[in-house]
Amino acid sequence: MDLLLQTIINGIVLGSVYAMVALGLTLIFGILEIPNFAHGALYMIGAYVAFFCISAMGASYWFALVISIGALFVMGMIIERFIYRPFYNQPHISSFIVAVGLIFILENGALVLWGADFRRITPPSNAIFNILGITVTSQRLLVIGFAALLIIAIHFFIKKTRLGAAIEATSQNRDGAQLMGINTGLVGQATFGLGTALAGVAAVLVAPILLISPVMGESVIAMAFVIIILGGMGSFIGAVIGGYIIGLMETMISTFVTSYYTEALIFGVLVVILAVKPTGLFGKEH
Amino acid sequence: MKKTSLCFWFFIVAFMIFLIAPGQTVRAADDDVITIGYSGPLSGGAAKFGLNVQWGLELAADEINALGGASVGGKKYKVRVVSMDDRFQAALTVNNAKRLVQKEGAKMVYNPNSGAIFALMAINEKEKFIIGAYTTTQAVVTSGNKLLFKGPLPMQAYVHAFIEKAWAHGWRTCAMMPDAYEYGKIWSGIFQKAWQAKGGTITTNIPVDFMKTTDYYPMLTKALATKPDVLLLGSSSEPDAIQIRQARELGYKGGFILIERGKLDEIQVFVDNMETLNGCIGSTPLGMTPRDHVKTFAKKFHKKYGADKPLATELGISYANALIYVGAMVVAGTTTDVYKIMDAMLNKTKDVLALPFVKNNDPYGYTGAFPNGALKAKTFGIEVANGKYTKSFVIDTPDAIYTAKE
Amino acid sequence: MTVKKENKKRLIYGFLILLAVSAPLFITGDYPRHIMVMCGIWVISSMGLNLILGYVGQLNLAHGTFFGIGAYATALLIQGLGFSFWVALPVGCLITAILGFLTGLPTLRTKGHYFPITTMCLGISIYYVVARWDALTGGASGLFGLPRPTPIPLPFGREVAFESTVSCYYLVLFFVFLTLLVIARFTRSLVGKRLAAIRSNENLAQAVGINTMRDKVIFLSISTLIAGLAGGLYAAYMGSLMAEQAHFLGSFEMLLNVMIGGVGTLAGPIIGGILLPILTETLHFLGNLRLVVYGILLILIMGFLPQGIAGGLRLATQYYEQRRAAK
Repeated sequence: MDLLLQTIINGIVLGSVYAMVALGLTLIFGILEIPNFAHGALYMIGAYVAFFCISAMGASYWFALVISIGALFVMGMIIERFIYRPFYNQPHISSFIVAVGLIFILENGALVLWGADFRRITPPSNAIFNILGITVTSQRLLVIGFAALLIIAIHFFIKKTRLGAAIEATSQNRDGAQLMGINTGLVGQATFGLGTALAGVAAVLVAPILLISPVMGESVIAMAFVIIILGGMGSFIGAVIGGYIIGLMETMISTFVTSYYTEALIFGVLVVILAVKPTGLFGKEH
Repeated sequence: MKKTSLCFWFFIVAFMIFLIAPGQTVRAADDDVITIGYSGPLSGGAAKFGLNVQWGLELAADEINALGGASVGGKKYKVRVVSMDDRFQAALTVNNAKRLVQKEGAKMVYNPNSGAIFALMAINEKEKFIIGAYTTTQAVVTSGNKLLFKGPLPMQAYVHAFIEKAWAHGWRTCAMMPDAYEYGKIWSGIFQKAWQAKGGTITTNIPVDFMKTTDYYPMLTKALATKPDVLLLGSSSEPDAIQIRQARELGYKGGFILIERGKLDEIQVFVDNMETLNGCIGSTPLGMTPRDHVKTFAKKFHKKYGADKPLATELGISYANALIYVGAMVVAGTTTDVYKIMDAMLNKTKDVLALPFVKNNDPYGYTGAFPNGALKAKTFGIEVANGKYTKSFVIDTPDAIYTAKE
Repeated sequence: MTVKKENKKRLIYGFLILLAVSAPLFITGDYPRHIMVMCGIWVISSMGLNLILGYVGQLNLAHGTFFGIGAYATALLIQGLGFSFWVALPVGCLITAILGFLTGLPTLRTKGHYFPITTMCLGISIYYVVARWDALTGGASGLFGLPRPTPIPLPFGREVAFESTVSCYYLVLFFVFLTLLVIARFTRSLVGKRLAAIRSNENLAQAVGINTMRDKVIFLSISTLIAGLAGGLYAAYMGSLMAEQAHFLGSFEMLLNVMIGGVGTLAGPIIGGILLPILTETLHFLGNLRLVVYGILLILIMGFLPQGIAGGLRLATQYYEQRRAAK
């Protein structure tokens, strides 16, 4: 097994997850200027929705994925409309605090309803591939492939469709977009749904590799935020590239440098970067 | 505006008094009730474990009550368990313990978190309650605390027994992936010393924070790159299972030593087939140990809590510990004098263990106790070979390890 | 304010202080007293967070971590270097203040979300250092065996010892009053007034020549100092520490206290710091449901009662006053 190559592949898998989550987060931020701190908790809900589809309804993995996407899309829209929207006129700190409240509700709600036990989803295929001295399971390939597909799809969606154009316009200049006749409220709501659904996809894709638990979103959300800050909040490119970079960085550091202090190191470095350039590498001043 | 802030002050303090005042009454030792207090992780990552410990205590209470209660000093007492969640945080454990002792009349507080046990050890002799310490950490019995007993066996026993088995397979190089917490650190420290003393090599040490880890591939990749004969794993059952599965995916063909936090019967559920577990050395799941009373205990447990729940070892230990505790009260003839109770438990252990409700029910097989609070028992390990469990082997526990300094 | 009102105010303050000081006389039982000590510690920490959140308008998500730093610093100075508590505590506070200062310099330049996110990263990073640096902090198992503060000698061969819960209550109460005084001073001072100006319109304030950065950094440093104070008291009282004490989730708990009690008011963190821990104890049986309720409460408060309980009571009293004046 070639350690370096294996590590790179591991990094790309992790990066794919981060990229999807960060993309959802940055889309939401670009339009609504809300740092949806509860994004990780929603990610977790996505995994549970799929789990219950499979275990309680006997659905197939793919069906569960679709259901999860739909459920999270709707959830995202509801949360935007009824929980975040009332606070748009207040200072940014308010939405942050609201998000904290949301996390409390979602995570502990999950604990109360479903217990703290780890759950498991079996992957649709157990095939393992050994190429060039590295090992990749089919599920990991799925993660990489799906992420790439989704990213391209979203890119085209934004650039080529009317709704996508509306989203881009709203994110660049909300008032201007409104003047042009764009229903910014609906656009914002739809974007929130879209971003949340992305998190759901990431969760369902990654669930067969890891374990599902009510706190599974915590580690991901911290990284996701770091990624969009570094990449620039609202920047599509920043989220995607940032996701892969961080994923690779994390895997490389934990494999080659130290796995004991990985988090301390990564977040410490991030603090330094943020202290020097708070708007990130690709971001715009807000 | 100034006036209004005064009102708030008034309300604050008044409210505070209002809420605290009713809580003043100390519950006198209820006339015919023995209260066992339990503070443990009932939510969060360790919740399943915390609940199991609680259920063991409750089953013991049920057992004694079904027999009409415990007869102490000529009076009959019912046993009840009062349980509180401390989310595995020592500060909350201390809060809970005080409440259990002062409001609920508990004379013993059972707890499965070594960090919290240390915090309790700072106050229990002053507040006169016994600590039922569910931990394998030796340090709790070496500090001289007179009101503490320890149920689980010292981890040294497991370490040495597992090393013997691994050695017998011809394995000489080991990559350690213990948990990143205190337990794993101490365990792997003892393991490393013993392994190297025999002439083996430790190829790497990668602590795993199984509560927070997203993906085990990087750590496994790193460990397997050192080409070990055997992997030491230290997470709880499900993360262990994932690590074993993924190690196999990565082409690993060697063995696994499982720190006893991971239970093979629970791990089994999370892998696709038993062949994956070939080469595992671990502690025998309670339900499979060749001990007396295990089958009846299993039946009682499944009847009350559901047939689908695995029979975890901690259930048996807390159950037996509660029986012994009440038994010590019977032998001591008092439900309130904690020193006499401890004396009975540690110095008149034979009498305690001979009591019918202890002798006929103990699924863990306790045989004695040491003055430092450690309870003595035999335990068993097991391996998986050819897709099947092997016969359990006895894990020797010589007296020396119960009284060792660390 | 009229002289009559002024005197009335003094009377009520005096009464409340008397009540707080004499509380152990009518609250007997070790467990309730223990809760009072813990409430005192949380009140101090909440007051610290309120300073940066309510008066500067920035959310320091590393507040819980600064609490932990104060706790570990004090503990290590006592255990490792043999300092007495009375030296270790101020030094611990100084350490957290300096760290807060260093944190504030680069981060308070930004507006909006960057501060919370950066402090969150800082909190996570330091938490992992504390949790993993076994040699220094005991790692995941933490430190234990910390002694109570050494007795204070008094004339005539007597002394004030801190073995009992009641004595610790008074120790914490003393620091509650001290912190309150310091905060009241600062928020009513020129600095506080400047910050109020900044909060309402930062650009205008800057145009008028107010050096916003200096004031913000000062407030952050004091805020973290207070967090460190609470941490040091916690360490000395509890006698043991675990890495969880430095987890940034502790910030969330203080956030709840501050927001529900009433952000930006003097009484708010006190109300929240007493009410929520007590509710937590009494509503124990609800388990995690309790935290769900807190979350809902938080959102509702943000939406309908942004000034929390303190604000609500203020509105109620104003309404009452208006009705009286109308007669």
